[in-house]
Amino acid sequence: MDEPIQYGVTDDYFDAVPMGDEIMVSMSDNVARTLAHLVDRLIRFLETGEVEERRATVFRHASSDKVLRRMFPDAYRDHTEAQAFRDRHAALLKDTEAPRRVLARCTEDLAHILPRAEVDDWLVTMALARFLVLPRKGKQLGMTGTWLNHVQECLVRVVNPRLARG
Amino acid sequence: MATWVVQRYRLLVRLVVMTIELGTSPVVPIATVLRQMLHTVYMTRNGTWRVVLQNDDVTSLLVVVHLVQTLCQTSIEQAALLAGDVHRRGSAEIGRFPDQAGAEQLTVALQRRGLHAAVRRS
Repeated sequence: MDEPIQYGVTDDYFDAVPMGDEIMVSMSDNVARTLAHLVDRLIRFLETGEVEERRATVFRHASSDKVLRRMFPDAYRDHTEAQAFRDRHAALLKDTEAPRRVLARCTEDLAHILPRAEVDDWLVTMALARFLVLPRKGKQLGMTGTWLNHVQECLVRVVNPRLARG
Repeated sequence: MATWVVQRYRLLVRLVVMTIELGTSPVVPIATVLRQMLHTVYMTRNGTWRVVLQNDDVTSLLVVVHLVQTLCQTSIEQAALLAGDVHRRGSAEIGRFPDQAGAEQLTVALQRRGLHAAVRRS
């Protein structure tokens, strides 16, 4: 694997700290707006298959299919079985309740109290949003991927403190 | 081809053992024999369903360990070993189920959280 790119320090932040049985989440305005934009794109993709088009017309469907396949890769070696798996579980795989709750959080306040039960919503949403812009293999995470992973790791460290201690 | 021969050989051995066992009885209930044969054939053909986790370049090890621990209900140490196996070897088996539905349920849960999980039939 390539060495990760080091980015300079900015005013942007996303923090999660335990607060009793809940979690205090805070983020900068820019992070909140960027996350909201990405999550909105994710919701549109999951519900309609719409992707941000770089080319118009004939490439649209191929591109949407490509994103779907990297988001939910083949679960079986046989392509027909793999597609049947995606069709069979489409309702659950493409469910947008979790991203919608995350979107609401990102747009309401820069700091809020998150119930621990909602952490899974963030893990699901950040995980899937990465594949709107990143392939699974062969490319550096980049700024967006690094931030989405940072959000996931912040929350995992709070709900699983033994992992935080290494 | 080799798997096919082994499966048939195992089936033959099972049938011989069953015949010897049931042969001691004065009356052999044919329905029981048929049911046992069908069960043997079913188990031979279906076997177990494994869930395999494949490595990727996007999910951090910390998150993989957390997800394996919580979704596969393992200890944190076991989850770390499995995640390490995935990272080093490219893939690792993280679950085994008697039925396809169970294996697919775990696969969906892992894929929804960004991991490349796949189902394999043993």
